[in-house]
Amino acid sequence: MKKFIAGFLLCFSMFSYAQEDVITVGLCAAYPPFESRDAKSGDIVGFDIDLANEIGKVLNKKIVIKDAEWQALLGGLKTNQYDMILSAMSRQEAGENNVNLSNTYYLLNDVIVVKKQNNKITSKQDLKNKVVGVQLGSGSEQIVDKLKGLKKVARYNYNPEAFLDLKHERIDAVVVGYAYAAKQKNFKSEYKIVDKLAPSELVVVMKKDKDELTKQINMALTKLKSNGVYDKLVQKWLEVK
Amino acid sequence: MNFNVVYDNLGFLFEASWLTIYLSFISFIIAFIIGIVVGTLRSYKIHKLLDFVLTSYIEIFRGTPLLIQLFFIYYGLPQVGISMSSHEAAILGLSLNFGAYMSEIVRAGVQGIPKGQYEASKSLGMSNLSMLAYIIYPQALRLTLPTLTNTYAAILKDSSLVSVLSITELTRAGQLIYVRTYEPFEIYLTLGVFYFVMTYSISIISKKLEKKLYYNT
Repeated sequence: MKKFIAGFLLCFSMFSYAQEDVITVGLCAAYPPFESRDAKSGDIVGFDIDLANEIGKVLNKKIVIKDAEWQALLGGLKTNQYDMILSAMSRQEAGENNVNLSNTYYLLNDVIVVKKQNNKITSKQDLKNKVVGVQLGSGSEQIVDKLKGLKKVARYNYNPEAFLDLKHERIDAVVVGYAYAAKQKNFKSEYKIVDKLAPSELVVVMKKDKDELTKQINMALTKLKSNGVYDKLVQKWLEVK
Repeated sequence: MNFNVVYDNLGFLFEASWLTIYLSFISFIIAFIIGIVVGTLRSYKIHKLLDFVLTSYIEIFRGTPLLIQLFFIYYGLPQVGISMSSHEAAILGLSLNFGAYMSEIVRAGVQGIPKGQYEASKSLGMSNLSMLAYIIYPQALRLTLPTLTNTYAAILKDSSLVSVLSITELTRAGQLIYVRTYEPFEIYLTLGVFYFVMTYSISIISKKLEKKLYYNT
């Protein structure tokens, strides 16, 4: 029994030692091109993953990625399941009062997407009395909730379901981040973007009062932006050709 | 503890509970009708092919998760031209799934009636239908009432799955409040209480009904 306890303690101490050099990043791998599972390999890939790894290189830490449900991300941060969230989360989504936020690392426009044949909706004014689909808990949802005069807001666990309903014309429009819309397979043959809504500021989210980590992340972001690495990542993942 | 997030949203939660009750009640009625028809037909083995079809229906719907069935009905079927609203898809999914369970319950009830009852009704010159309606079903109902109540409670609870079809029933309402407030303890506890009150009132009603049925016979 003693041996067992000793072994247990040893494991535990090794574990806590290892934690020093590791940053655990929580994200929800259902939002290409920021983070998603590669269709072939099943690995989590995307802009946020590359950015996290580059931050790790600057800070000389190992990055461990943890996939979670979108709606559970902030709760998981609260209970220390990861050190930070890097999941295309906007300032508004994170709620500035309960967490520490980095500087903005990307400005993402939310856009209105309709079916290609739809000529009735050409701007956000035309959404009056229409049914608009969004992902539950997303920044797009918050923006849509502020629009007045909609017939209904249809809320989905994930964006692909919203797009399916749009395809089958059970809803009139989907509001979603620009990069997500434009990078979708078959986007141009089925849908079109008709208008932009307010941009959301994407940030790295950390637990409240982790000021040291926040400082380090901001430092790393500034460095990556000045040495050209950041631009390369934007080119690789987010620019629409 | 911050139960204000619950208090502020009580109206919304009641509205969503109403939708939960509505969806599960309609589904229960349809599942009950499916159960009586399929269960009776299967008890009497009228035709081999019919029996095969009905058995397949039951096995398929009992052997696959309700969540998959809902996804298939709502997101899969439009691919082949069958499109319906989210409420219709939810009711269809719930009633087909629970119809399968209900059929087995009805079959057990009908087959549990002693042979003498059939012989007695035949010798009184009753037609098959009136024998079912006046002799077999009333007794089967008494036998199966507790299980039927269980099924209703199960539908009520499993109706939380239809939240994936972007229907704002009780579970989805809770999630909506959660993503705005991030108070999981208070919100999910409240949801549990809501569901419990709904299912528990059903058991109370069922117990009363059971007593009544026993006294009357």
